[in-house]
Amino acid sequence: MCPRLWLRGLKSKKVVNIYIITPSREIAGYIIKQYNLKKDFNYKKLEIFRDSINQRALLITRKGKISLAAGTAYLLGRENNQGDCALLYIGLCERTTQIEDEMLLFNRVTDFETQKSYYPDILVNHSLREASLLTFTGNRENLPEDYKFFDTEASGFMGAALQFLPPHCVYCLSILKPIKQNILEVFKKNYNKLEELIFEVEGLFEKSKDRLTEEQRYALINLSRKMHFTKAMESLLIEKAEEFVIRENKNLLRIIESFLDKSVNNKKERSALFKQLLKEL
Amino acid sequence: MKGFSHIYIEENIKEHPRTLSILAKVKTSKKILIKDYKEIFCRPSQDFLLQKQRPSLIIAKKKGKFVYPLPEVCQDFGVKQSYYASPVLNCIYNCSYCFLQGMYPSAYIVAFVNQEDFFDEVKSLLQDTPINLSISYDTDLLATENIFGFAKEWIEFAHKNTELLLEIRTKSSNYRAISGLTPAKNVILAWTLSPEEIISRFEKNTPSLVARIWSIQSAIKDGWKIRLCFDPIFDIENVEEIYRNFFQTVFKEIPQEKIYDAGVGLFRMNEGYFKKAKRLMPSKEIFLYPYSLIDGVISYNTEARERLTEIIEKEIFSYMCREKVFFWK
Repeated sequence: MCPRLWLRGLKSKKVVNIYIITPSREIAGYIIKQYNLKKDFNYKKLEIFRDSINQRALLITRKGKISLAAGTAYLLGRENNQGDCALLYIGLCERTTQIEDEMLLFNRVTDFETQKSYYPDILVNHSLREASLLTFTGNRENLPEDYKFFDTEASGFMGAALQFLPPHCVYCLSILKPIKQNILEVFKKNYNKLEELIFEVEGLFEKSKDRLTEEQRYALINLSRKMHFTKAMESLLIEKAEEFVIRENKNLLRIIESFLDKSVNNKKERSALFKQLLKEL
Repeated sequence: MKGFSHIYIEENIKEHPRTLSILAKVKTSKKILIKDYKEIFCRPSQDFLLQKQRPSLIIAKKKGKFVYPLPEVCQDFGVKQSYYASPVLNCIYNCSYCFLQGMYPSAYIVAFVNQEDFFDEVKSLLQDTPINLSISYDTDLLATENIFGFAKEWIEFAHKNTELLLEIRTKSSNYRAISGLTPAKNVILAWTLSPEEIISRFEKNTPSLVARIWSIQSAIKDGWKIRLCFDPIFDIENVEEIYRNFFQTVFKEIPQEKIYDAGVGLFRMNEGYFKKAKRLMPSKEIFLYPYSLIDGVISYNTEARERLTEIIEKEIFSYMCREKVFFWK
């Protein structure tokens, strides 16, 4: 493939950076409407919806700890996203204390059965209330006193998500099962807070990693093809070129151009030229 | 310092007096109880750089070993029995060349409240022989003294254990935090000094050279033993001129006869830490220099080392006598 076309292909490839997972159809319906998501029919086992530019996606899971863990693993395994994405779970929880109906963000999720705690890294600004959550499936009379909030499934999400993603890419939110209002009303009231959180989380991935200009990258790939460099040689060349651009205030293109009129006839010549090129960088 | 985003507290020390004292000083953070600090500190795939921008604090109890022999990349200033202890892990500063970013999986600061256990292990070592102990290699104790107060406790411990030679190394200008204490003969306050060009390029969030010099002047005035650490030295553009002006500034403000000793070391890092730090920050200019690997340590190649050593020796020996200066080579 022509290097320029290859580059263009690389540029146009969009990756989903926010995945929302919820077992609640009411919440899912509202999010689908807000983001104008469309169903992805490539997925047969669970329902996944995406926006048109493929930056946000929603997964509706079945209820329960195991179903949620399976759904989370299914999504992340199928998507094969190489980082730069975050996963937000929005569930429902109950309380043992008198507080207003609202949406909470959890900084600790403990599984009562295994006694294992999961800790996301909350490295963004947000206006949600933070708390600890206990995932508990037994008799309520046995509920430990030191937990104000509990549910039946979030630890399944945390356990599965943290197997795939770094802790700053995993967010566990829950709506307190409303006393006065319905779930959707509470979610709508807190929707701005969720948007604010998503905006901040997306900001974590904004750092540009491309240190070479398109022209420089094209010239390097062109040179690599002309000299029949192997894939390993090409990636080492790009790595060294990136370092050169940051370290030295010199013209990379001029160096590449000075090699373009050369040719190689065998592996030995190729290796010698490659060494010479690396020396320049 | 902006403060901590979250404070994680080990359940078993939540009522410890030092925990309560720390919490009283950082009231605004969200507090989360944990079983063991490693649950947070050793999680896989943490983003060190993002955590540095939004640090959290972990208050914990250290278990196992408390004092370790000084590694080879550290200077021992001619003392054979040299050790280090880490009452705090990680630092509030964000120096690009810091080995901690390659050493620890997390940038969160861990404060160990069981200082007595550290003291006990040091006491048992002192039964055999006098030792040199550095307590500020994995952190900057003086910079966080207003929150933890550990430097004060160690100085008081040194007063009672005269066989111990204690080094507290810092880049901070927070000398006032311990200025009320009686200077101990066996405590060395060691300041790392770098040219302003290096501070602004590589030592993010640290006090300026002038601010560090002011602190040193106050400490000298109060009668403390002072060590100057010109470490790490970098091979930058105009290196000769930059270090000439730097030494001139330092020794104009700090009389050399008031200095206990000085250490000089070129930039170096354990190979493993270097690789990990470079992976974290591949575009940081500090990791892009064509270094050499000698005995598992990444540093300048022989030519650059000889050239830099010559430059620094020429400058420093015009101000200090040779016996007082220790080189890491």
